[in-house]
Amino acid sequence: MMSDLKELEKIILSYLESRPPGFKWVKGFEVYDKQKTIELFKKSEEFRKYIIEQVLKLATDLFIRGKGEK
Amino acid sequence: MSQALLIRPRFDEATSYSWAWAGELAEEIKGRFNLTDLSDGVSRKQVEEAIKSKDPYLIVFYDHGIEGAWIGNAEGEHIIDLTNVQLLTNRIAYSMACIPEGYHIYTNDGIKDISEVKEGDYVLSHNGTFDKVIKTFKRQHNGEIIVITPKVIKFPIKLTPEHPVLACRFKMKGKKPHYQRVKSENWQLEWIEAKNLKKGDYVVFPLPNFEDDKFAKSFLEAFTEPDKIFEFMELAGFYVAEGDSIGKEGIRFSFGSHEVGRIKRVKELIRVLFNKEPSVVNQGSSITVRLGDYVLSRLFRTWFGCKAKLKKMPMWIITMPKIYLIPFLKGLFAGDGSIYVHHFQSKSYHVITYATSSEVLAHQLLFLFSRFGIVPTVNIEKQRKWGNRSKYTFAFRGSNMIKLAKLLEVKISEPKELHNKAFIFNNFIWMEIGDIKTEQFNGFVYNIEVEGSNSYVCEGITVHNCLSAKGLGVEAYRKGCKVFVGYADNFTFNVQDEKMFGDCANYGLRLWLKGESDWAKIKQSWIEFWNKMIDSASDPWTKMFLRSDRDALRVITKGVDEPTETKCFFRSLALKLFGTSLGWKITRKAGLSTILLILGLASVLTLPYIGIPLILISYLLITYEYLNQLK
Repeated sequence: MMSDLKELEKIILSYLESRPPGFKWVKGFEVYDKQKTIELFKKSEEFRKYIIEQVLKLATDLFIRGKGEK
Repeated sequence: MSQALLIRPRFDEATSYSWAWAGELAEEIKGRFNLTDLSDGVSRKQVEEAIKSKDPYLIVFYDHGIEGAWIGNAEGEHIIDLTNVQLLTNRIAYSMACIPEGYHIYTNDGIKDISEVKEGDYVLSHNGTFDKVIKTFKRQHNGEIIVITPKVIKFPIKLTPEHPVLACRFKMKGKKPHYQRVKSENWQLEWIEAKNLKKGDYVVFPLPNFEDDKFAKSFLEAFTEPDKIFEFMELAGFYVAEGDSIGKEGIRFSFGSHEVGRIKRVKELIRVLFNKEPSVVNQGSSITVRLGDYVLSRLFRTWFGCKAKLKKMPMWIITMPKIYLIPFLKGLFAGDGSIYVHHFQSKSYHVITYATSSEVLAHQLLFLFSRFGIVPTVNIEKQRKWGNRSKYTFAFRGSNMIKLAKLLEVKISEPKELHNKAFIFNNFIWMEIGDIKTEQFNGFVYNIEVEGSNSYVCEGITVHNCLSAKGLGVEAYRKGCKVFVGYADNFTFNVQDEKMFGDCANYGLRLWLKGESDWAKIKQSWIEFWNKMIDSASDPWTKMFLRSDRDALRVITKGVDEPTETKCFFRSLALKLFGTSLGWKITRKAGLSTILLILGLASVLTLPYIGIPLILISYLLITYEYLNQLK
């Protein structure tokens, strides 16, 4: 399981690194650019957890709705 | 035609997108309602007056919010919070608000709200260094808080009574002035609980101690033309004082037509730095120097902000070697500074002043000046001509003025008094407490634990007005708000696909404006629309946060997202007994009077001396409550 999560982290990181320089997302008051997002993802465990949680929630959502259950 | 009220964002970088989304909605609302559009600069009072005078059926709020409040444009006050939530009674409230707010902490990433400080951040400690935060705390506090305002830097600090403050007690002996005695008698600092401090005691601010700062270092390494760094810093100073970013049209500097020397200097700096000729627009009493460069515009906006009240400095400027800060200060003071002669008790002396409306910039400047050992006097006052915004005025007197004048290379006469109300001793700025008072408070307070030094520098410990946007929605529903639309978590979006997010945020109201009145159906269609957007988005990041926003959406009304959870035992009992729609509406007084009435009736025959007063009290309580409701 842990190795799967590490794999997921690598995929997210490579996705973030492939973003164009103008990548930017807004979360509340915060505005994150590509560099800041990558830096946070690498350094902050809390942030990493948050993103992984979002990825997993999206995957679950797509899976369930794909089955027509939602 | 019914009335509607639109409260627009305060326009910072995060809300610059939702400004446009709110604008789209405004056009559609106008077709069905008489719309009052309250834009940037609106205060709580204005909103309250608009609601009372216009009596709008629909209130649309597009701005930042917190759990228990909609934060508006005016600093330090909420547009709607739990104290005036009854204004939403019998109305439809449609909001795009989320997020926390509060007081300021000096971190290695700039000045931050204490509620935004996270474990792993670095905050300024009493050692003058940035130390790691190892834990953050948030708790409910119902009781007294202590408000301390130093004489010189008049940022009030709010603390719980038992919170330790690094301070020194004033000693009542000897004839020498305090500032001399502190030094000659080597007064020592100690941790004193806020409740034990009194007027005249000293609180301190540590002098920053940056030996090898990575922020400034990385900027200086990245700067491709090191011989032009001084010119760049001077232009940055001018921008913070007089500049503005105008999107694709570049950056502009606005001056009075008499400021010929400054206009000439800015033009020179632009030519030297960017090898471009700026355009000059003469508008009679004002002159604008403009440079059309989109990249520069975005860059300056990110680093220094736009609009006067949102101006800021990036951390690499604050921590830069002092030699580079001198041209920055020259530019800054050329724009917003002034020197005047002050007459007092038949004496006259020079005073250098600087004024800004940006709270963040004011804190940052305090930090920056302290690096030079300069302690200004900071006054905060509301300015009517600035739309009731706070004005932060820095005044430099005595030895502080001499130090600053040397940096700025301006000539001033030698002041007769060299001492200041605040002074530097043992690597701290010592400030006398000018005012200390106790206030009642019920809400959340925050605290952080710092590694090593166990201390941090803060304008104030955050005091939120309690509960949750979850809380505001629940409270609004309790007070009879017909429909409360909001988010139970941060609304987040990918800038690349911001239109998708805007369409999703606006969809519910659009449907209602088209004539669908059943909010259960609206929410259902809304979620379906959100799902379509998630499926059609090509970017996974967009998909991810569309999903997150979809799940954060709440439509609090009868039959939809009705609040069911409460920490209060009696409320949960009422919810179980009477269901959600009635259970939330029973007030504490009504509940108590019912219990007293039952007890009174049960005991009236056997113990009439107890029974009759109980019935009377319950009667009085219910009458009071009824009259209150009627009012």
